[in-house]
Amino acid sequence: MNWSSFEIFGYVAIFLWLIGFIINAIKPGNKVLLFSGLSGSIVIGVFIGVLWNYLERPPMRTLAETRLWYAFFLSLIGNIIYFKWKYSWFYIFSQILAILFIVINILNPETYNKSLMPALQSVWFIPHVVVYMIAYAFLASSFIISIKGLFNKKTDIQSIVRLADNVVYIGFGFLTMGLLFGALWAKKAWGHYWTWDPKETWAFISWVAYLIYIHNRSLYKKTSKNQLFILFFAFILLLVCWFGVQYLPSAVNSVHNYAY
Amino acid sequence: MRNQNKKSIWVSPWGFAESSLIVTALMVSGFLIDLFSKNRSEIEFPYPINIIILTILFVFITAIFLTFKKSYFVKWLQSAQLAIVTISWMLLLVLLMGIFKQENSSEISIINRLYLSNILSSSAFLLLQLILLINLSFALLNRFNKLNFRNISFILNHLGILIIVIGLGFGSGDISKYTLKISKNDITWKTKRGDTEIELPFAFKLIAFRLENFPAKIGIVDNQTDEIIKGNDKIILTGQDSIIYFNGKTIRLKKYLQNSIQFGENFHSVNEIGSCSAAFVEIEDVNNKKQTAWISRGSHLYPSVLFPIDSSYTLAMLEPEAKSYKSDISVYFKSGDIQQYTIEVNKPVHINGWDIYQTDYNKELGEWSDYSVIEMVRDPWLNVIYFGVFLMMAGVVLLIFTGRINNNELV
Repeated sequence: MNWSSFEIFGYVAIFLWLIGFIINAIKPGNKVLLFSGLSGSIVIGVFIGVLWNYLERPPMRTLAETRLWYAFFLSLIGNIIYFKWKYSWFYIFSQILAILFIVINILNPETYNKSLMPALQSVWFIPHVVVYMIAYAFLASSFIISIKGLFNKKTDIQSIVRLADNVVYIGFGFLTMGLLFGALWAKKAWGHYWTWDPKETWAFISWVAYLIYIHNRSLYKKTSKNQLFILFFAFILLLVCWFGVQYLPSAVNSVHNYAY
Repeated sequence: MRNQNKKSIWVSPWGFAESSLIVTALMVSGFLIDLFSKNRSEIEFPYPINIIILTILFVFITAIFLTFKKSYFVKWLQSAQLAIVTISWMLLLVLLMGIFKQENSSEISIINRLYLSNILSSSAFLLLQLILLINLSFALLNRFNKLNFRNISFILNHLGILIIVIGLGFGSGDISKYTLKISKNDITWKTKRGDTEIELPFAFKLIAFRLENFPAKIGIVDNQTDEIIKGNDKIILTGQDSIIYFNGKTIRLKKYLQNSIQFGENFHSVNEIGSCSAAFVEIEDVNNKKQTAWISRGSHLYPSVLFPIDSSYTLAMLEPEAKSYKSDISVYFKSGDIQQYTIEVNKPVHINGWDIYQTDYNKELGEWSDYSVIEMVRDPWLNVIYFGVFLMMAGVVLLIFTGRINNNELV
C-alpha cells in the first residue's frame, strides 16, 4: 500500500468528519461527534503509519507528506478544543481546514519517492518535523479563532482573545522547540547552527511575529481587535515559510530544497 | 502606564510612541550611514576585543541599573514597549532579508549601498542587536531584582535569548572555518584564504571515499519539453515497484543492475570505475504485443541508453540519488601522531576543538570520486550558544504549561 491507496483513506476520513458536522447541527455536544471526529483523525494516522512502513523512512520529507501530519494534528486539536471548551464553530473550521489538506493531497498525487538524502538521515529529523507540525496545527487554530473574532461582529472579543491565548502559547512553545531542534541539527549536518538559509529566515520571521503577539498580550492586558490582526498576519507569514519560500527570489540556493 | 495614550509625547514615563520614534530614528540613521559611507569594511570583533567590549558593556549596564533603577529612563530601557518596537523592527529587517537575495556583491547599486542584499552586515541590524541586548539586559536585571517563582519562565526565556544574541554577535569573529578538497595522493596541510596561505592545525589524507546510491528510478520523458512527467506514483519505476501503466502500455521492470557495463546487446554486473546502473524492461501494448529493452543512466565513461515508447515519449533512467557517502581519513598531528577517522553527513568528528564535516565529492564521478570535500570548523562560542538554547528550551516547556494560567491572571 502506498500513495495510490490514499484516496480511500482520505475519503473515509472526510466522510467521518462530515458526519461530525451533521451531528453538530442536530445535537451539539453529542459524544458520537467525538467518536466520528476522532475516528477520522485515526484513519489519517493509520495511513501515515502504513506509508511510513512502505517508504521505509519517516513520511516527513515532501509537502504532501507534511500535509498529512498537519491534517492529523489539526483534526485532533479541533476535537479536543470542541470537547474542552464546547466551541462548535471551532470544530467546523478546523475540520474544514483538515479536509482541505486531504483534498489537496487527493487532487495532487505525490510523485512516489522513497529516497531520503543523507542530510535528512538524522535523529533530529522526526522530532524537528513533528514538533513543527504540532506547532503549525495549533497556530492554524489561532488563525481560525482570529478570523472568527475579526469578521463576526457579534463575537465577544475578550473571550475570543483568551481562547486564542490558550492555543497560541502552546503553539509558540512548539514552534520555538522546532526552531531550536533545527539549530542543533544544522550544527551536526552543515557545521553551523544558523546560516540564514531562506527557510530559516522565514521560520525566524514567523517566530518573531508570534513573539510580538505574546509581548503585546502581556503588555496590554485589555483585549483588542488589533491583537487578533497580529495573529491573522502571523499565520500568513507562517504559510509563506511553509509553502511560499520556494517561489521567492531569495530562495534560489536554499538547503531546504528537498522539502518542496 | 495605563494612561499613556492620554499623556503627551516625551513626558515621562516613556511608552510606545517614544520607543517607536527613537528606534525608528536609529534605524533610519543606520541606513543613512550605510548609504553615505563608502566601502565600509565588515565589522568583526575577534578575541580579545569582543571580551573587552562585552565586559565594559555589562559593567556599564549594571552600574546604570543599580544607580538609577527607579528613574523613568531605566524603566523605559527595560520596558516591554521598547521590546515590541525592537522586535517589530527585527521582523521588518529580516523580512527584507527574506525577500531580497542575500549575496556578497561588489556591484554598486542602491540596494547594495543600503545593504539590502547583506542585511546582516548593515549598520541598522547591528544597532538593532545592540538595542535588543540593552533592553534584554535591563529587563533581566529588573526581574533578578525581584526574583520569584512566577518569573522563572521569563528569566529562562529572556536569559536564553540574551546569551544567544551575545554568542551570535560577539562570537562570530572567532569562528574559523576551512573547506578542504582532500585526495588519496596528497597530504593536505594548508589552505588559502584570499591570497594568504594558512597552515592547518593538522593535516589530512583521504584513505577511501565510499558512496552508496538508492536504486535509480525510471521515468517517462516528454520528447517535446525534455522533462520527466511527474504527478503520480504510477509513472515512475524503481527497484521495488515494478509495473507502471502509461498511455495504454504496461511497462514492467524485469531486472535491475546497480553497477554494470554493456557487452554487446546486454548489460552485465561489474564493479569497476565508470560502471553504471541499468534496467531490463518489458513494454506491452494494448494488443498484448511485447517488446524488451535495456536502458541505462550511463556514467562519465559510457553514454546513457534510452528507449522510445512511441513518437512522443521516451523511457529513461534518472540520475541516481545518494543514500550515504563517507570518507575514511588519516589525520596527521603535529606531535607526529596519525589517527584514522570516518566522517559522514550528519556524523562529524570532533578533533582538538575542531569539528570535521563531510560536505561534498566529485559529483561527476559519483561513487568513484577522486576527492572528498571536507569542512573544518572551530567555534569557541559554541557552548555559550548551546547554554542559551537549553535555557530557552526549559523556558519554553514552562511557557507551554504555564503561559495560559499566567495569562488568565492578567485579564
